[in-house]
Amino acid sequence: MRKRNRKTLPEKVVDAIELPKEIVLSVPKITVLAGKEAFVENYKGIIELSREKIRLYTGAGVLCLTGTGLDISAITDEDISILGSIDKIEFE
Amino acid sequence: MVLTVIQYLRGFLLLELKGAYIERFINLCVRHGIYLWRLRKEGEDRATVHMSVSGFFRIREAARKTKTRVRILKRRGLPLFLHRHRRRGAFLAGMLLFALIIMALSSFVWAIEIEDTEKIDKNLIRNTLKSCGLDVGVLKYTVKASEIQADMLREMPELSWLWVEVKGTRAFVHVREKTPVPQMVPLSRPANIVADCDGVIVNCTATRGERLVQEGEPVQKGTLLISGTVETKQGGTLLVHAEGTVLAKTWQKSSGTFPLAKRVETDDGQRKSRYSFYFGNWKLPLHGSGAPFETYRTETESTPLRLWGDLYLPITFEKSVVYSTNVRYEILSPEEAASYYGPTLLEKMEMPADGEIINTEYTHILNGDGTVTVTCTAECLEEIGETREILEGTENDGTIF
Repeated sequence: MRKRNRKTLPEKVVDAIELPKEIVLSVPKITVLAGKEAFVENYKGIIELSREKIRLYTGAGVLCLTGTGLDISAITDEDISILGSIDKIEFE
Repeated sequence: MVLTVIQYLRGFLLLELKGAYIERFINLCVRHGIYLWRLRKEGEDRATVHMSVSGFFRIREAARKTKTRVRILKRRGLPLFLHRHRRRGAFLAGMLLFALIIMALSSFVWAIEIEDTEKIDKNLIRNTLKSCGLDVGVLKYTVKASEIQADMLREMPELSWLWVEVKGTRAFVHVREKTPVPQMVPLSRPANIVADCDGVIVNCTATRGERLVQEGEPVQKGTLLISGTVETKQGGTLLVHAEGTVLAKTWQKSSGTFPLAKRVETDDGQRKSRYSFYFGNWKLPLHGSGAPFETYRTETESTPLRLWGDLYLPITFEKSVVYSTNVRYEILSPEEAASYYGPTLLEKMEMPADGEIINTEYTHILNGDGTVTVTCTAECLEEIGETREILEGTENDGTIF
């Protein structure tokens, strides 16, 4: 797997023109509010769902949210909104 | 995301999902464009989720593929409501009629509010608006703001700006008045300063022109205070535009006849509440009318009914509370009557434009028939100078400063 820290050529181009990356490169954009809400834009699918752990498949790998009382407040084919006490957000 | 009116109008269901592959079921639904919300995993193989009714009809394939059993826990929404009551024709017709009436009523202007006027009479504006096409009860869509603005500005030259804005069923008319140009004698013309009313001079300061009066001197209306005719050292005379401030004490008197008693009204504890509806100006009382007590006072609270913020209906709900009162008459001595009724005389007097009241005094004369005549004398300190132009034909040698 490519080292996450080095920027690829497409990434450098998008940076230079300052286009929104999550739209052009199909990578997820995660907006977290205070550890109580997480809005993941541009995910690809749900792998695992439980009230303690939610795992999503995204353009940047598997995203795992851990916590308690996790519910999905809304879900569409591109975005997912998660409410609850979020303890950990990690890329696996 | 919050449950909105739109979701209710479209109809939605609360479903219970049971199966081993709930995640795959969700992925499939979502990929078919079905919007889901409030998804909660209850256990290993159980979850509850909200889904739109239109989506519900498309999940059969997904449920079959993932071996998920779906159960409806709750149904909400307008389509379901209508379906449940589809046999009740009159009821549904009534609902439709209600909706139509509300839509119709909210297409008219029911209130006109005129804002920002200071000097112009609001009724005058209202009447002119009527002739320009804006009145209570007109269709909202016939009100064209730009046309009304143009017509109004043409009809009323006192306005320098006018704008009509219809919000809901209320029309707001914003107005700016033309400030009248004060009549002033131009500085290039020679002028005197004369007294505009009687009084006693307190202070006279001339910044240009010759001061003719001193402190303590009584003057009458029209007396020359600061002269624009100035003698030069050479012996001739110059005409100048006199300037300065002249402060003087003036008095105003006002009298009235009042009885030697005052009316005192106190609540005696009993009260009744009355409710009524107004349709336009027509009153529909919900109680009988007629005076409930011998003597009473009323406090009324009116609330216009409205939908959604700005859409006011022409229906007002009014709550009146009638308090029973005890009225008794207290006898006053002449002095008490003077100080009780005196302030009403003071209120009616004209306040000086650029001065203040420094003293008020009430005197009274007892009349034989149980009344007293009270005189209020107000002493004011005000600027009494008025600039008046020196006209041709008076005694000057014609030299203009």
